[in-house]
Amino acid sequence: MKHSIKVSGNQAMIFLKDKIYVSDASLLRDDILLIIDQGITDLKMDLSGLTYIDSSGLGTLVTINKRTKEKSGRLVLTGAQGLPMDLIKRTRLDKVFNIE
Amino acid sequence: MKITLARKMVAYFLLVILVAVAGFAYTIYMSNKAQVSVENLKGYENPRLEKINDIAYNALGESYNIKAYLLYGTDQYLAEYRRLAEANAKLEDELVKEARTEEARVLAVNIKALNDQYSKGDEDKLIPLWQQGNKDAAMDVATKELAPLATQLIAKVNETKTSQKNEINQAMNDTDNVTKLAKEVAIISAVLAAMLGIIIGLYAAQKITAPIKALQKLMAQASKGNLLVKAAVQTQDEIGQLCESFNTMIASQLEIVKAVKNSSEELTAASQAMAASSTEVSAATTVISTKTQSVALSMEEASNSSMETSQVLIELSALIQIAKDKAVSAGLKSESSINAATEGKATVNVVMQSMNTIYNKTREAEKVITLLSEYSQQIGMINETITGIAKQTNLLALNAAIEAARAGESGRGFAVVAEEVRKLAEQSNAEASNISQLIFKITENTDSAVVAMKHSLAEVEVGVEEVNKAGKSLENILSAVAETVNDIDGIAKVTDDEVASSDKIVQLIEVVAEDIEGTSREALDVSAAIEETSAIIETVAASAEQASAMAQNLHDLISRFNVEE
Repeated sequence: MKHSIKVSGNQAMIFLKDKIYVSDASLLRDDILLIIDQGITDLKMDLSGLTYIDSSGLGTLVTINKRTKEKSGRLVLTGAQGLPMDLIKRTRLDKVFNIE
Repeated sequence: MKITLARKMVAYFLLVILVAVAGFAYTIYMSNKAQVSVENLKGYENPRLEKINDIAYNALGESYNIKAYLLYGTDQYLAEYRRLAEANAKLEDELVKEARTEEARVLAVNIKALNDQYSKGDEDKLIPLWQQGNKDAAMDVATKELAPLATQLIAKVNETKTSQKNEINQAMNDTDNVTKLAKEVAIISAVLAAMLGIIIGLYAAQKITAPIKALQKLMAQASKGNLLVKAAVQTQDEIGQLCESFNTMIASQLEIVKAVKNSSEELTAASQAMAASSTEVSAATTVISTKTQSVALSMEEASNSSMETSQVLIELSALIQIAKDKAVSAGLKSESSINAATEGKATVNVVMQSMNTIYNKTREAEKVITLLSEYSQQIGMINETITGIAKQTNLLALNAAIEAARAGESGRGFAVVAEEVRKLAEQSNAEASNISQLIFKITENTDSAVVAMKHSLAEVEVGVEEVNKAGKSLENILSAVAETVNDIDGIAKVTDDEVASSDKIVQLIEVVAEDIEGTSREALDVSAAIEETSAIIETVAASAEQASAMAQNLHDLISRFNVEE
């Protein structure tokens, strides 16, 4: 597991680390969509430990972002740097995501 | 060579200057002459007179000193005499050398000859005689030879002096005359030059201004708008050239005014057309500006849409990749399913075989049980026989006991045997009864067993049917799983397409975003350029209106010129 989730009330802190490939993105998607369905929609994702992500990971982040907004929640990305941040900028998702 | 006005003027002035210069040159020549004369007096004639005076004075001194020497015999007088004699010899040499006239030179040579002679008489005769003590001879030489020489010398010096004074007087008179003449010549030259200057000036002014005045009149006419005037060219000088230039200028102005008149009319028309065109262009530009702004807005919307599209694309890409991942995983699981189903099929086959075996064995068991039932019936019949035998045996034993009892003591043993036989008969009967019950039970159970067997057979048949069904189901599962594996392979192959790959999708999104952003920027640039153009066109329109007004103004101005003959 490249991700860990700490839930507190309707908030959740998600930590991504190392390299996120398709299979990791799939697991992340399933886990996060599950907690969103449970009503936990205020999400904060710490990307400081993340060194690689591809379009499957980014697409998963987009899905999570959309899903939280549909449920009047929000997704905040923190600590993005290096290649992940570069990829976010190249795909102009920096204009879509709430990045701190 | 053209005779220009400047040359004419220069010639006039040269004439005046020539007269003045001639007069002044003569005056200067005279002045120079007077100056030379004065310098001659100052530097030559007067010093020469002084030298002559010195010689006279020295000669007198010589005479006195030699006399004093003779009188007092003191060497001091002799030394003074010799110094003066030497000084005179030097002065006389200078006098001879500096002499400018033959007369003066002869006089100087005479003085020198007399003085030399006097000195020689003193040195060669008088002084040696005197020093030898021959005073009479010495006095004789002094009175007879030297005294007349001294008189001659003084007379010659006086003659020379007079001659020199005359020279000086003559030179002074000459200087005076020259000076006076120079003064008169200077005054006459000045007056002449002034008069000539006035006359020439008046003549030249008349000569120059007359055509200029004529030209001025023509210019006045021209300035009032009459461009049909023409100056008469009478000379080749600047005035003539001025007239020619005036004619050329007026001709040019005539052409220009005609051209300007035509041009102003054309300009009026053109500027009106331009104003109309610029109004149209301005309207068109406004339309273009509106459209461009609309394009810019559309591009902004497109940018937002592209953001949405990007999100959808990347999400889709993620889903496709995840689907592929899951498909691969499902493929692996399906392989396991196929294996399990294959194993299941094998198991079903084994079960089928077992069921068939059970069926056969049950059939066999049924036959055996039927046989057992028959055997039980046979045993029942045998048991009835045994029961009959036992009853007869009991009767027999009873009879025997009776008989034994009759026999008394001797029959006691027999009675025991009879008793034992009776017991055995009873026992046989009891056992037969038990057997009968057992047979009944066996028969009962066998019947039940037969029924059960028949049930079992029916159940086995049902089981076989079900197992067959299960086998068929497994076969169906196998083929279905095989199809699923194919489908999954298909999915995996479809999702293998590079379009869905991470790099491609990122590149695609980036390129589209860059294109849209670039187009948006360009649309904004175009919009700005159009606004600039619009502003420029407004300026052009204003300029056209100004040009129109200017053309009208020009036309009004031109109309005051008389250009038609």
